[in-house]
Amino acid sequence: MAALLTMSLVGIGAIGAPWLAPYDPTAQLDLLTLKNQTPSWRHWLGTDAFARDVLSRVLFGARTSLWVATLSTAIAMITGAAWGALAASVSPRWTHTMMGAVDVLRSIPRLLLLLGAIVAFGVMSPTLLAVVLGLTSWTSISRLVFTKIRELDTRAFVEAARALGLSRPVILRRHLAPHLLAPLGAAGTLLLADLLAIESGLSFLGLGVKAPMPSWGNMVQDAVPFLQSAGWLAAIPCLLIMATVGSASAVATHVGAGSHALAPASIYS
Amino acid sequence: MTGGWRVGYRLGHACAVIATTLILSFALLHAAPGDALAADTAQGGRSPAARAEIRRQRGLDQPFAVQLAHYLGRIGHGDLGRSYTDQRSVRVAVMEALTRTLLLTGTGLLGAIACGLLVGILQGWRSDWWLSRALGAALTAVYAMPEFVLALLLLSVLAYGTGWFPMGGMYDPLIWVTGTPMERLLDTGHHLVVPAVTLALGWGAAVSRHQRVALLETVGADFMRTAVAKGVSPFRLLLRHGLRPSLPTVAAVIGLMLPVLAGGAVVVEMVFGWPGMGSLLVRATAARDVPMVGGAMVVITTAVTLSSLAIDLALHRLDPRQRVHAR
Amino acid sequence: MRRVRFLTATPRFVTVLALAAAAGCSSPEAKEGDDNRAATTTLTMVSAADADALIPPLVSTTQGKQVVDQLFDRLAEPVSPVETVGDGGFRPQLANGWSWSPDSLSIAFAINPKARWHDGIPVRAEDVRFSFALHTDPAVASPQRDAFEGIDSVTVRDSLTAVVWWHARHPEQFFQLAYNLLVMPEHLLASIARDSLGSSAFADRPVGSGRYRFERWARQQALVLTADRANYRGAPQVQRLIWVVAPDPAAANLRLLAGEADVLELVRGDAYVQARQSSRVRTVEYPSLDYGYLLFNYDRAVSGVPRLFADRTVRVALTQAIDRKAIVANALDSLGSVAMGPFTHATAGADTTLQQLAFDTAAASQALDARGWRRGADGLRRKGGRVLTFDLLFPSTSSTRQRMAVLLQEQFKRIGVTTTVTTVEPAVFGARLEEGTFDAALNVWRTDPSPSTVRQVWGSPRGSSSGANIGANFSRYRNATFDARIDSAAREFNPATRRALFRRAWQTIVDDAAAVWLYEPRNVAAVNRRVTPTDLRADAWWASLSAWQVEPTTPP
Repeated sequence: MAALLTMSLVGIGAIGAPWLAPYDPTAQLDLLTLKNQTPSWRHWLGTDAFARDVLSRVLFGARTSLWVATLSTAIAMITGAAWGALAASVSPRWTHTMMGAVDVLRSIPRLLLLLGAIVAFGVMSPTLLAVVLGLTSWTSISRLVFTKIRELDTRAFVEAARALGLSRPVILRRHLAPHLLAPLGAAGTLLLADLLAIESGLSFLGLGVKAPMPSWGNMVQDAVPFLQSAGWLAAIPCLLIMATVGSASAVATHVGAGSHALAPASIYS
Repeated sequence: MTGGWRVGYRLGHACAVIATTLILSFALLHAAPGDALAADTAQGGRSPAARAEIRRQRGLDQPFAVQLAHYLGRIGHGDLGRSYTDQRSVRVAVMEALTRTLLLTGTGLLGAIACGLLVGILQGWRSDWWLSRALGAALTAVYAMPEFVLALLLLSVLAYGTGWFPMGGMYDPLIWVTGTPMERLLDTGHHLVVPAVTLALGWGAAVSRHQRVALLETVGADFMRTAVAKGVSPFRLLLRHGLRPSLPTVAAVIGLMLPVLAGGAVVVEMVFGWPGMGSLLVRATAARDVPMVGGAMVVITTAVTLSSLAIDLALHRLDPRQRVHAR
Repeated sequence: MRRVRFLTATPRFVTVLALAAAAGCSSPEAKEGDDNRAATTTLTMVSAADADALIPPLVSTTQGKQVVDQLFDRLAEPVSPVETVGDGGFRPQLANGWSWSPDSLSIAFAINPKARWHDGIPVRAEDVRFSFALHTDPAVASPQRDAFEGIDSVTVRDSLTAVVWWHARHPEQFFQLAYNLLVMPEHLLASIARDSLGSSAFADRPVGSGRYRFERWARQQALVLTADRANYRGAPQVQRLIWVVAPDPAAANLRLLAGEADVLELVRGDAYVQARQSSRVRTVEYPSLDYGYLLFNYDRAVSGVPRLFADRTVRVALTQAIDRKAIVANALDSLGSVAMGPFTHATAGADTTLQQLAFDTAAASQALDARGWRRGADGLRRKGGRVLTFDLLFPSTSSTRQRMAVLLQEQFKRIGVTTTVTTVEPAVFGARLEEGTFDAALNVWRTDPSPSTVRQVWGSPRGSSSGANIGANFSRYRNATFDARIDSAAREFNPATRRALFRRAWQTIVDDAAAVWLYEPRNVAAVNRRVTPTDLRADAWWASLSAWQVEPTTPP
């Protein structure tokens, strides 16, 4: 499908950026004459306000944005799945405590945690940003895993496995995990889309990836003062964000039709 | 679980949330370099002696545990304190911001539900009709757009481009000062349209996603086809049997969006100059205004947990299926 | 199966839409009807932040100052351009005359007998005495408190004469008092505890003697002042002054272009271009008292060298490595010029003929080589195995400084100096400047009309270099010659000699390359064409708002 094609193109662009980009994304080529140039043969997507080649920045920006989104998704998935699986496997009292903790964490607005992390850590590298985002997004995954495992636990094959004397970790790994792949895959793709959108939104609040490292979000934000004179500077990264998020979202919905627990993630919650 | 136990559990949970949030925000702000007075240091501001005096007055030179204890004690008594930036009562400022935010996010949510229901129903009912696909794609595109781009776009096109709507703010100051209450009401409504539409479009996709899933299960079901074959009007059918199962989904969505509802949609608030909770929080955090941040967090988490409880109870009653699978 | 018609399936949605449209359609007429009915003139200013307080000693934001200057009066008001020596640069405001004592240690101000507070009570000398006490009270902790240093007290000779006493005479006595003291009503404020002024009823409804009285304030939203018809100085032409808050600059600009706001105090970039092209709006330039500079932390160990920046050769090399003109042209287009030193064109006695360090990368390279920092094969400079690198700090709220930092980084790279760019929140920025935990920083300083306040920023700290002593001298710069020259210039009464002495002092600091003086922004405001501003002062463009002329909006 078109969505998968888009995502793979973006992925290739991101991974291959150091080889594909014609210029260094942070090199300011000629401050006075090359500022805000429209697309031309030498610069396929033009230059930005600091006389940097936009195509190169877009490629490296894809790298940064996708790195943040992928890493945070991975962290969220791993933490969430582990917590959910654990909560479904221990004694009822611990289950209540663990899922109660999830409820508490879920109620804390993400924005506060982000703001807090920013102020506490000061400057955040993309990796640290990804960690913070990941650690604030795992609650919905854990609920998903928890509910699903609980459901599966009532099924016959699990009872059979238990009767056979298999230990819980083995049951989890061999019998339950395959059933979780589809919903987790869908949830993960959706979370990736959401986190990518969040990363770009953070630049507006001054909390995202910092200059001069390019990310699609901060490229859009930097281009806002020049919307009239150099509109493509904002339009290109914006359209790329939309295309990537949209296709990830489409893929996820297609794969995960039937998963009610796909919670929309945003900057606030 | 019986109703009473459930309510008790949820109230306990609410207290836990509020306490955790308070301690967390206090700790984070305390750990952050710089304090309320440092923000204007680079531009001059007060002399070092004056700064030291103010810090002493506020007890900022005490150890962390002492400060936290004092703070929690005051909150326990219901005293939310005074803002560090302008010494205004935190309770007044926060409640003011909360009502403004609820007006905006509430309207936005209504619009999102309407929008999402519409598209979701269309997609569920007639998933291969070009209009439902187009609308679905458009909604996803809007959802994928960075929020501030969407806000600026709507501001430029809907407000500036057509001239029908104001460029932001909650009301026209002149009408606010000289107008009749009715005029003021209409004026606020007029100012509400574009920011609420922004929110509605942005959230509509999420709602429609949930909606579509829920509806797919009922619309395709046999009983629906039987009813239509028997001659029941599809419209009535949709209302009665299609929408009823959607109500829990909608309630679930509202539940998930509660932190945003109470906490404010920062980006939209800042672009449209709508002075709500979101921008209050961002401003107070940047200014290290500890009482304000704490007060805002208390109010937000209280509002969220109480309404979450209400929704849970409502869900419990609305969806008969849920009653079977007790917790 | 019968098709369900699209519209009939969504009566709710359509109704909501219709209501919204109805609300939308009805209001434009209401707005124009308002102007018709009231037949008043209003002036709306849009700014990014709200005023913080409306009691003068508590105000620290410019928005607050703008409002407070309309609500309250000074004893004498400065004339543009502000002359800080003697009393020639002032005209009567609350005081309709004053007389100096023979030894110039005191001035007696005669209060205008027609002056009234907005609640009708006459203004008396006791109010002046009280206002001084409030401004200087440590419990109030006013940011302006230090400006009154040197004034001993204010006494009351009779109910219409207030006498101000100084410890010693100096050229800027009159300026110091008249510029900083805003007179407040004693009868309304005396009973309020000093440390809770900000939460008093007066803070929500201030009462002053200015040409505008307070009408309403919705925080973060709008602040409305209305003309004081019975004012002793005459009623202003503009009936209402309104400040609206629009945090996003793009949105603020749109409000101006759409005619919802009349004044936007600073436009840059695309907003500037749009204002120039618009038929509804025009641009107005006014002088600036800000300068942006790159400051070095003299006490810091950088790249393994203790107090690297205390070495003048290194500083000169770094200054010469930068093409300041190109950087300023890129970052600010035509809206800025290269800064000349710790002052601007609008500073009294500013001298544009100072000798500046030229842009010379060859000389810069040579100087660094001479100090032992040699370029390796990778282009980076090393000495004893350590790379020459330092960190550039700036606050995240300034887009100009962000651009400057990125541009500077590239320029330094060309001579082999690596820099890292760190951006932090304003609160952190202030804290790090104070503590000295930075290598180099980009700061913007708003100078005073009086050039002698440069002592606060560049004068040697008295005592150790701890945060408590440095004041605004974040660099921890020490230069006894500069201190002596500034002190002698500040003490000089003769204007010509004073100018020459300041010039000498500034040349000293520029030669010493104390910092890299980067840019002086050109302030351009965008105003609606029906507004005629008067007298835009560099330090306070809003000072004569009450004298601005505004054509009423014509109904269609």
